[in-house]
Amino acid sequence: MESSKEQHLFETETCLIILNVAFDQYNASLLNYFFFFFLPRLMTFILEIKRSSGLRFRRVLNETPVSVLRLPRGPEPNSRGFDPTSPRFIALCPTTLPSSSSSSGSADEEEQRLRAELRERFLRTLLLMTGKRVRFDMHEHVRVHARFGASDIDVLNLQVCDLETPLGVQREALLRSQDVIACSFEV
Amino acid sequence: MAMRQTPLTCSGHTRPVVDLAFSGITPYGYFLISACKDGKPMLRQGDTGDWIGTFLGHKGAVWGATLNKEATKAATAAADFTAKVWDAVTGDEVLTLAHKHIVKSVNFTEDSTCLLTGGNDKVLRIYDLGKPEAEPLEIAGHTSAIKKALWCNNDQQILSAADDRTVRLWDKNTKEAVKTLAFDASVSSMEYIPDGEILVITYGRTIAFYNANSLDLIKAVDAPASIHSASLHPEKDFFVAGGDDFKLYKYDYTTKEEMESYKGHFGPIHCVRFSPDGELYASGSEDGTLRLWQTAVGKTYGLWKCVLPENLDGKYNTAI
Repeated sequence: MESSKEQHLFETETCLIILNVAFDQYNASLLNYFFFFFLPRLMTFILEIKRSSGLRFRRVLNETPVSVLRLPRGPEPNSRGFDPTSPRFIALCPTTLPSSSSSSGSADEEEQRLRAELRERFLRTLLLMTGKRVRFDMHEHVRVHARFGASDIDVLNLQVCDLETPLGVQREALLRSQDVIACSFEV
Repeated sequence: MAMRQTPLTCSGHTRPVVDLAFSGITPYGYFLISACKDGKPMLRQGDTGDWIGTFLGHKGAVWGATLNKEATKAATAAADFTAKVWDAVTGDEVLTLAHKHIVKSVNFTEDSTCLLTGGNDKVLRIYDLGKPEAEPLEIAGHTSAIKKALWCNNDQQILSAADDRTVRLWDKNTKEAVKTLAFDASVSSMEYIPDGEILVITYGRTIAFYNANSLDLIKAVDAPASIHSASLHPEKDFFVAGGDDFKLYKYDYTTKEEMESYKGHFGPIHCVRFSPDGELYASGSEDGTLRLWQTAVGKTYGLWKCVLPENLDGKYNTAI
């Protein structure tokens, strides 16, 4: 390393001497300067860079970085967050219904009872649908047939098999519940 | 095939991140709160680092932040002489507790009914969150600013670390110091592991592990640089530490050997904590970022994806 530095120094000095002589002897032009001084130094510099980066590249190649699906989402610039449509917010937040007096209390209870009954009916329908050939009516006049498998806990997605689409029969598919308007099947 | 750790960088803070805490595991996953000198602590999803919300209200640097086990409440300690309790679901401020000096540390009890605060006024205060107007229980004894205060031993005792280079164990009922530990250097951080009653204390370049009941030394490890914070894995296999040299060190707890060191932060690391399931650890630094690191590098978890060796070689290109 030291010897090459010395060599460079020697080269530089030689170049400078030549240049000085050249200035005196010839019409020193920029072209002369370029070829006799600048270019050799540039070539050496480039070669050194190539050599050192080559080593680094080889070491990096031995270890593969773990791949990442995406980066964590950052804060929104105009909002403080705490999305009210997130499942956690909806589940854990106190209801915004006004506190009821005793007279309307029973009306609320009746409504709650009816809601519970409808929910139970819906869940039982889902249970009955499993394994059956169901017709899904979706947005944009899309009507497909498939064999219903299951839905997820929040009924956001419906898992189906043998979904008949204009492109062919999809062996396994996931339908987004918000796209489905109605589903009908033979009991 | 050797895998290189890819840390996930959570940006958003504009000033150094000085404290961070994880919640317990809830039906919606676990959460992470970060305290920052910009006065805006943030709540994030623990396994992905996605930002959920910012608690707005403090008028000074936030020095300490904590979540309760169910991640329904958050508490923050700030330089504006207040500690605030927040609803961690809506982000609304629930309570403001005025103090006489900068508040540095807050900690909930297991049932989230009481809040312990400690700060530069050298007094530990216990607030009953059911009766916030009532005067708090005060425990005095430290001779300089309290850096960290934690509940321990089933919320019957309190551990506090202060700038007077001592760590004291207090009994909540008698308000007396049961035990005192003196150190040569100021204690930079303290972590309490209830399962196993282990206390992790960092001071100078040392990471020491103590029994939380008797304050007996279990073991001590020296690091290459001054350490600001350390955390022990829930299964007590390893611990991680970070400090002044911007690097995170991972040590084997049993053999005390350094296993790995990770570069990535652009400033000294102020806080490091393992997640409640032990799959990742988070570090907060002077550079204003939080980074999430995998415990088992290469495993599919959160946003990290395991890539099989065949796919890397390029030999098997057919889709499944």
